[in-house]
Amino acid sequence: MTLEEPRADGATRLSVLNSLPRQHQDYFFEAVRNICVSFVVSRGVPSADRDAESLELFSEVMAKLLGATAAGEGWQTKGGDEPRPDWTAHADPKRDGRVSWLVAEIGGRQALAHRHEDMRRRLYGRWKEGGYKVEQLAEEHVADLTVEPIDPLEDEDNRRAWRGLLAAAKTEFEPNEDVSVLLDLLASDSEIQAGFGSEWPVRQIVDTLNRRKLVRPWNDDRVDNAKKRLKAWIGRIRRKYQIDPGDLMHLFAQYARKQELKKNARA
Amino acid sequence: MAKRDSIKALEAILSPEDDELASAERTREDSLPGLDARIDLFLRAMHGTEAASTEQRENARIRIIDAMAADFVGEAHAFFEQDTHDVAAVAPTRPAAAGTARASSTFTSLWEPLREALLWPLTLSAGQPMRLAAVACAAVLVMGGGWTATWFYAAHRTETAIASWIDSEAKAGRDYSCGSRSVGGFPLHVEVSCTALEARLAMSEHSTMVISANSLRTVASIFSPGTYVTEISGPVSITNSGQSASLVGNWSLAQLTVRGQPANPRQVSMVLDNPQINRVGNGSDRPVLAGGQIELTASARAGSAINIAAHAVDVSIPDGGAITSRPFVADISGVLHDIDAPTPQLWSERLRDWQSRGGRLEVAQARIQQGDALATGAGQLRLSGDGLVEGTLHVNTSGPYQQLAQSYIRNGNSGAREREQLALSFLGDRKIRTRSLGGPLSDRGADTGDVRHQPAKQAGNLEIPIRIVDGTVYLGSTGLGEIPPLF
Repeated sequence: MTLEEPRADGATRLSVLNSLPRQHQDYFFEAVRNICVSFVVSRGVPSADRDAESLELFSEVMAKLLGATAAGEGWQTKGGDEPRPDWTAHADPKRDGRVSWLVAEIGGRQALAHRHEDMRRRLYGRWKEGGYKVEQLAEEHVADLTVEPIDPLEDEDNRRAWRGLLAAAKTEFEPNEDVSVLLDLLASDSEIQAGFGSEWPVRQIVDTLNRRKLVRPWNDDRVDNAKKRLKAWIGRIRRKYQIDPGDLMHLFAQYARKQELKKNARA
Repeated sequence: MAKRDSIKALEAILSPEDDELASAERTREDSLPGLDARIDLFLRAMHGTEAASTEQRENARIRIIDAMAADFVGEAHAFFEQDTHDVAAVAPTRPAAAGTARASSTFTSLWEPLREALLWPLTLSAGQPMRLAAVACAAVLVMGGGWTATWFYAAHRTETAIASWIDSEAKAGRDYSCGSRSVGGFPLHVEVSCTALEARLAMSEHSTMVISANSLRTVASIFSPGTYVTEISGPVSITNSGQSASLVGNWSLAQLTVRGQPANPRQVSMVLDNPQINRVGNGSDRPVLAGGQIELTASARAGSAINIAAHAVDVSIPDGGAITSRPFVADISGVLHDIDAPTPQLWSERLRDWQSRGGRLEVAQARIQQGDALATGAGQLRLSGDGLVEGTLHVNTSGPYQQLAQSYIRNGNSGAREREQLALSFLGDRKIRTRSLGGPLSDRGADTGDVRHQPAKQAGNLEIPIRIVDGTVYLGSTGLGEIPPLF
């Protein structure tokens, strides 16, 4: 999966939600909120905790829906030949096919169980040996399990943003491509990082790369070309989600953090 | 310093070029909303129309970016790959899906040896005497294999339909789980059995009904797809949250038949033979309902209406008042109007919605008979904004009912005890059985005739209105009892 590859299901849901009139969106929000309440009630959650847990689950469901990435081109399914759902528009949201479809997509038993589990993991850590880990209070877990704003002045967040950028770039560019070589250099060479001002230190980059005695020497044009491709790729992501550089840095840092968690889980 | 340089380089890479800024406007037509629009949607979902604070907006921004990062990583995919045990722990009620996977895996394991067997005759040369026998065996295997495949397909469809129903029920806060579950019935039926069934039905936001049953078995015939017959074995206990007493029911047969997809059926019917339902708790064990047979049917009509019919034979409701505490035969048929398309909703919400749409029950015919006493009626019922039943039934009475009604009206201020004595004097002792009036249709031969359609003794009919005002039932101006609010 690359950052730009269509992820039809999530993106389609979000596109459909985005296309709804405001009244229909509000009705949809209310319907999903009620489904979350019903789900939590059906789980036998003590009545004192139901409101808070329902709201948390609803928040998880909405975040998942609104966090869908990549633009879907209309209705796409895994098989590609499944019938298009009934998306008949209606002035009454209760009778609107798009709303009904969205409710069915979002509020399924399995989908809610997954969101419920996501929510619990976010709050309490992963399920292990018959219970949610209690060592969540250990410092390293707290760092992983809470969502804090990214502070670029924090060393770890800064490193994560770089790691996220490199990892995301790997989904787009081959390791031996000029863009990857350039990016690796920018991420690892503190002297070149110090050379950034209003312009890129192109000359310095060329010299550094040529010191590696590569078969094909680097020159200003080659660096410019790699830079253009890199900037074009980043520009596409930024425009697609209308996201500013600060949020993009946050996004890459979170991307790295999620990958670390995933790797740890596998280990 | 190095840290600051690192950030500076990162910002330079991530910042837009001048020519990009001009093209940014063009992309606003993309189908996916931008980050700010997503944040607005999130805030509206969470807080409605009230203005969000800066802090709430910032939290929402972090939340959405976090979700986008998770989506990039494909966290959900990993969830399926690695953590099915987590889901099982958290969501123990996904039996149908698990069963489908089992069926699929069983099919694969059967198909491989079958394929080998079918190909074996082709490996023999034409002149061998074994060839004919081998081909015949192969033909049998093909037919058997075809039938097996058909059965697995039907089993898969049945399980999918049940899973879909469980899913739609869960959305409405009704959750079903089995202690153990099995699929069988090969070769002519598909049977899904569930033991130690527990159903948790959210009736409202603060009330959950828990139903436990000994076992349940759903059968679908391969020859009549789309018909599901479910038998529920007692005893069944029904407990409402916040109440110490339970209803405990048992019967000789409880059968539910669903035609069409379970999540969106064309017809649902239920038969209860010899039901005995008691209220148990606080040291008491009192009968609530007892009787010979109860049949209920609901069928979807064109538009937004449902036909309903109920038939009770030899049934009594001991706490139901002077008349229904004695065994009776009763029929009711009518139409529920303004039923909305089935969407996941709590029952209380569904009733409230139905009421707000002006929903009504048109009673085409209601009939109750006890010996020579007969009452028939028709009318309309609806719910008030408070969930109380209201409406009028125009009732024709004859025989002892007529005398009883007149006595009730004459003694308008009489209490329950007085009414009971009047009922005793006109209808006789509670122990009188009405079986002589005729059992359920299924118990009797075609030539016996249907007591439900026998003409009542019409002589001296008295027509009286039964009014229900804010849940209170009146016969003329005499109050008979109250019906609690339905939501």
